[in-house]
Amino acid sequence: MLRSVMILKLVVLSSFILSNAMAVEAGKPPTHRELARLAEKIRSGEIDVGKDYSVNEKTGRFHIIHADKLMLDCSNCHRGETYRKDYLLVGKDEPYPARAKGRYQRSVCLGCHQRGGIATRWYNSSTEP
Amino acid sequence: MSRLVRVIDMQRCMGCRACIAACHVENHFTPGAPWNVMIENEIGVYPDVRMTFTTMNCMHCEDPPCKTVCDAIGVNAISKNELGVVLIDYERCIGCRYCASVCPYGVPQFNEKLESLYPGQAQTAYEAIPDEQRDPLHRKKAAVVEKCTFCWHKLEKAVTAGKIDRIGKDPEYTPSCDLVCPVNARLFGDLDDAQSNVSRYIGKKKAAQLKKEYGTRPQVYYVLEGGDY
Repeated sequence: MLRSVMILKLVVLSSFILSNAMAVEAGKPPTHRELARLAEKIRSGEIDVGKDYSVNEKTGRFHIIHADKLMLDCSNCHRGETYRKDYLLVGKDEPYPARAKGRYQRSVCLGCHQRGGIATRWYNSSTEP
Repeated sequence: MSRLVRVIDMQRCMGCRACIAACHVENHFTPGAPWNVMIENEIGVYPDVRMTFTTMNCMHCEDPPCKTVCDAIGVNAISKNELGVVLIDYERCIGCRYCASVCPYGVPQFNEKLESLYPGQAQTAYEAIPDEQRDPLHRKKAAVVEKCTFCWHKLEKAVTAGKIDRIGKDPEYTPSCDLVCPVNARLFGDLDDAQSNVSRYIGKKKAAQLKKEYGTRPQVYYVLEGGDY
């Protein structure tokens, strides 16, 4: 009897662990290769991201590409209401818009948009002459 | 070939903002879209504290990401001319702000609406100058992006007069912000001329570009507190 209960407990526990592992697997962030493939499809037009070239509007391409298609979380770019004290940016002291998600650090863009990154290149590498 | 650069000596700057005022007057400042700003920063630990002053205008990068992104979406409103000056064509700009979002220095300023210098009052005579009497770069429009032009309307005169070699030397061919500094913290000239004031100053004081990690190769150099980083 005791043995049967132990086996039952083991089965329940292992299925719980397995289901959790599968959930993590499903929700895990996309790999570099997957993102690169997705970025290429956006560039080629295979994935439609609209023609509204706007940064601020949720309906604009900018947020459709980054938030909807590439599934970047808001907090990936928007990092709170103020910039670092010594951050050098022309609009640094502009009033913080009430509905904005937060300021964004340009350094976040570097990871993907530099030469050799997965996204369209806006920046060269720093060692380039 | 000339490569025009500006040098700003942060060790000399005392934060008087004369350069900013000069820019505002010269370039028909509109509230909300400054072309030249000063960023103040307090450094040190009490009681050994002091201020640093960093004036920031367009860096006129040799590889400007603003132009790259504008071209990539087919708007082509941003150009880089023969003297390395990056300019925005207000007639072509669609106000998407992609340029502002990729600029590591946050330079492009979206002019949401043209506001009077004195809200609630009539325009000053200066603001009321009609567009046709202004340089094309001073024909301000709402819902487009604008930024520092290295006072291209002055440099262009030197080009037209065949006096490129006088840029940075004659006041009429030199950006206004660089003319008014009372402590000579700003220089403007040709980096390709090894004997120019900017070339010698950059070499002597080890002036550096900001945010070099972006690989944009800015044409504005800073003599930084503590040297290059």
